[in-house]
Amino acid sequence: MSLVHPTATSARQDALHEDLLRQQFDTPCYVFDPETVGRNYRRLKDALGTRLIVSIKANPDLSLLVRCIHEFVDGIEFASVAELSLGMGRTTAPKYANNPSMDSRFLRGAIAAKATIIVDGLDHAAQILAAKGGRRLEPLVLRLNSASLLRGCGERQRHADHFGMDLQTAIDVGNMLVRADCQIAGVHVFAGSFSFGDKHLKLLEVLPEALKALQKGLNCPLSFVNLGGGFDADWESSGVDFEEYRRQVRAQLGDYLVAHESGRAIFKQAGWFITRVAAMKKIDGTSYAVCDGGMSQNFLLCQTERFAKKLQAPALLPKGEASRRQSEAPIFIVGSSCSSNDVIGALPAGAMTPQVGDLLCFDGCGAYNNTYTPARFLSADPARVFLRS
Amino acid sequence: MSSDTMTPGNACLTFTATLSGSPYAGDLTASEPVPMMLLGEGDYLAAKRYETDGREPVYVSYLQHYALLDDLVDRVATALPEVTHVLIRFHTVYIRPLPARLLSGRVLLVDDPDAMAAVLARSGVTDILVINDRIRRDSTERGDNTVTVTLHSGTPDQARFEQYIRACAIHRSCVAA
Repeated sequence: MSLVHPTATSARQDALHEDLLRQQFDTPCYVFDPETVGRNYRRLKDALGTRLIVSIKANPDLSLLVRCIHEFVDGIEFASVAELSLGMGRTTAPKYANNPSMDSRFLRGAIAAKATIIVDGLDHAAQILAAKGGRRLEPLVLRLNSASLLRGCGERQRHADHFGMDLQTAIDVGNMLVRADCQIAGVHVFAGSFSFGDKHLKLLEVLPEALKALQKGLNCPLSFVNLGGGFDADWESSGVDFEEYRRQVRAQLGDYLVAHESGRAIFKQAGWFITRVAAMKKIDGTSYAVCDGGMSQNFLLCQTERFAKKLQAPALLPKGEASRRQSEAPIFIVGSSCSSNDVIGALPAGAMTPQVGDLLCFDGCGAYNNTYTPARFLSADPARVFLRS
Repeated sequence: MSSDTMTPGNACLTFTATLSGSPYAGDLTASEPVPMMLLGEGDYLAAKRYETDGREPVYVSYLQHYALLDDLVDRVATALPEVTHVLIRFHTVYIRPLPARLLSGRVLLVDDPDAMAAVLARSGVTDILVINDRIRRDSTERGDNTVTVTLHSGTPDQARFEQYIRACAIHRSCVAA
């Protein structure tokens, strides 16, 4: 386990911390900033030079969506019927329904919402047709398995996943759908979280041939390609040459309407998790700050799914003006559950020592943190959610 | 701000503006919208029909909208004490209890406050404040974030009216028309 030392705070973070210190609010909580969401969306869309669909599963908070939905001009992807209901009545931008396991309620809702359904496989297509009845569907999109596509060009895939179809299955499924009076708009390819970069350039190399084969197999033209996303929140410093990438997209897929999609890059830096120090303690010289929130409200901070943990260092927002001494050793920040894995962060040696009542503010918690959390554990209260006006 | 005459001997002072940001910049507001209960296909079809191309952002929550109105009503008592009636445009959805001041005897929530002001003026009421806003609180609502505050007065005092408007929270993030 190693520590991530806090980076210098930006003027934006300083302003947030000042806002937090001057107000009373319940903890543990998330604070989401709609303005940052809008800014992140516009920047990524500009960098890509294509349509940008928002994957709302990264942050399905309805208040936040209400404040941002006017920004999401290229559409929103919904992964469940509950998510779909959030977008209903709120935007005329395109809606996409994407989940390999769509029950009939989700399918019927998506059809009524005139959403574009992403077809994941043969049985999925059969379920779509069963839900369709005599209705006219929006043109469908076939999901291609990215590992399969890349394998076709000799690329060795270490992280193959179960999403989408190989090319021959996509042709078979597409033909089944065409025979049932459906239109096929195009394809959806997603290489996985944090995959943007080399993998997308390779996908761009293999997609034109795959699209040609698909159109031949379906005997119909395709017009739409969704290249997925996989952007990290710090995509701007990822080293990707976006000008070259845009050029490659135009060169390889110039005949198609191209989209990317993103959740993490849009929401992650627009959210903070705030917990209050409930007690300080020391065991054999190791210091702990016991907080009112932890893995039951922000599971991802515990990094239980990572082999090598790099604990995040939060900003310490002190209660009152009392002077603080510097800590001589790291202080581990632990949550309110009975799990020994409930370690959500650490303050490095040399940081101010927290006191009971202080706030700890973790940044980069706007995507998945609130929802990818076992909320029923210990029947703990979920985190409150606030928007920053 | 402009002045106009509605009925002989009774002048109007008007402030018209568009909300261009949150009047509560930096403040935290609890996540509060109530999801629509969409149970079946018919509900989705109905919600779909309801969608519009409106791109006006939502800057305030329901509670913040109530607070803006409450502030306008609160300040009338001291800034414009001659006002006997405050007419406020009724918004269809109220998801939380209104502040008590908005339910006080001299405040009327009405569908068309300007028409109601004309009716009152014809019946001899001289000092009326009309708050007619189309502020969006949810992206399901139509609205262009405009707000018009009109003072109908037998003895109009533009300076006092302007002072009143400038003191109100709504003025903090409005672009005057």
